Amino acid sequence: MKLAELEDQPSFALLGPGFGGSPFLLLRDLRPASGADPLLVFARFEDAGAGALKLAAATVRPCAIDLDDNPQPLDLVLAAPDYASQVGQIREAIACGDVYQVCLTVRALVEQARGAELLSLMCRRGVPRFAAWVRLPDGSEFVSASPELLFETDGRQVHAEPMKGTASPSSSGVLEASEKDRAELAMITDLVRNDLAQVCRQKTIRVANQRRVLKLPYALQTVSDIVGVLDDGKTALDVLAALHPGGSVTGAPKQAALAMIGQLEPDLRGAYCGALGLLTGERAVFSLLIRTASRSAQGWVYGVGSGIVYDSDPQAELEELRVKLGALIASSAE
Amino acid sequence: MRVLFVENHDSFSLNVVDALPVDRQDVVLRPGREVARDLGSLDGVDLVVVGPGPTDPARAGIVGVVQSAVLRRLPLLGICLGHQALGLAFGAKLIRVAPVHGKQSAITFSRSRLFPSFVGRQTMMRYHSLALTGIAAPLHIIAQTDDGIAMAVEHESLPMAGLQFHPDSFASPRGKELIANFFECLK
Repeated sequence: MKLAELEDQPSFALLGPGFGGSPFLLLRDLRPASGADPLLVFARFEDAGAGALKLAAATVRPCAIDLDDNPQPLDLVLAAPDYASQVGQIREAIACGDVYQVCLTVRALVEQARGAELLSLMCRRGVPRFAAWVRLPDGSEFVSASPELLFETDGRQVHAEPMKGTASPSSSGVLEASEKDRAELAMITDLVRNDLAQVCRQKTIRVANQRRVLKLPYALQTVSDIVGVLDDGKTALDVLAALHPGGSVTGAPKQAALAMIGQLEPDLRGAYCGALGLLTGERAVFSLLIRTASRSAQGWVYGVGSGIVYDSDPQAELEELRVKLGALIASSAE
Repeated sequence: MRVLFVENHDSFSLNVVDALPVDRQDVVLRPGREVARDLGSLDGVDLVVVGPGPTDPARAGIVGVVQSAVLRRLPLLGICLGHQALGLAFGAKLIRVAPVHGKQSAITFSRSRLFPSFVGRQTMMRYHSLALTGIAAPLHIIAQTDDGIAMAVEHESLPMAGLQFHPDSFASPRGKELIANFFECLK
């Protein structure tokens, strides 16, 4: 199927291989529904997980797609005028004990682009695990190249995979050796254990991997693996309510970090840093919507962020944001 | 056994609860400010765990909870913010130190009454940017970092102890054992 054919559809969700497609799953004509199989679930960053939008589709089918042959390279400029001062405010809040880490995000604007172009740019060096292009019944729309699993469930088993720690792909060994990146991930690993404890049987949560490296075309990232056994009666939607918004995009403690984000970031994140999931039979998979562009009146807004800790240096954090822009700025510029 | 867990808006609270050597059903969670307003919630409790959290014990409003537990001679384990609250209740002061969040440290334990199985060096996870200073009898420092920051205290006669580090973290290998050691000493 040609990707551009979707441009005329009123509502759809094109979901990448991590959601179970081969390589993609196409859900057409979405409508709100309390139950359906499969069920598509979406929560904006600001939504409570318990208030997530649930959608059924008129048709669901696996499909392969033809990417746009020559998507135009994008000229993205980060809008981060107060960035150094914001990092300073977070470091001072950390020093006086108010917070331990805050995920601070900024936006880049793409004035003119079609969704098909954006997804083609994101996929041309390999389809991201949670690639997605979604147009909701209310007309809102986003394109995602997320590599991050918020969580998955299979029967009573639950697995979360928070991502924290980034380096450019050419910097072999630097990420593994970074104590700052190790601490950022460890903090969120402990936070996710805590959040899972709301829905898991006592003393079943364990860290299966403390730290492993994911190699993406434009970045190296570190993740941990946390597993547990769900309490009787708990469903994937309960897990979403417990985990969303994911700790890797808030910081810790979550409540204090969210309050700082509310003070420092001028714009809502919306779909960016939200959650997108598919429930199929006994299984559920939710991506955390990082590397995501949302359509707005001005164009597409692409968010990038990083965890600010006491050891953070504003210049180094900005460099990390540029690495993350690489999900959208394809190889022609390299 | 009935345990009161004093919760302080932290994202690690349930890790502490899950690390306690008791059944989840035996633990009642209540926000610290609420317990401070209603000290009657300490009635009928066998043990108080004052949990971790942001800000400092005075701003979190929980020093009075520790003072009330002292008057009732209730067993009390303070973790991170709770450890700092225990120190403040006995006249110690809080100072800023170089923030350490999500990092392990080697911590040296001396012989203690409430953690008898722990002597010598242990690896524990730390999350704090404030620390106690001016710790004096009846509290005693029973563990510290190599650079001399107090990491654990115990009362010389009451069943009360504080841990500045996080025994509940996945990166504190013998953390759960340490908590269990405290519970065993109360028997």
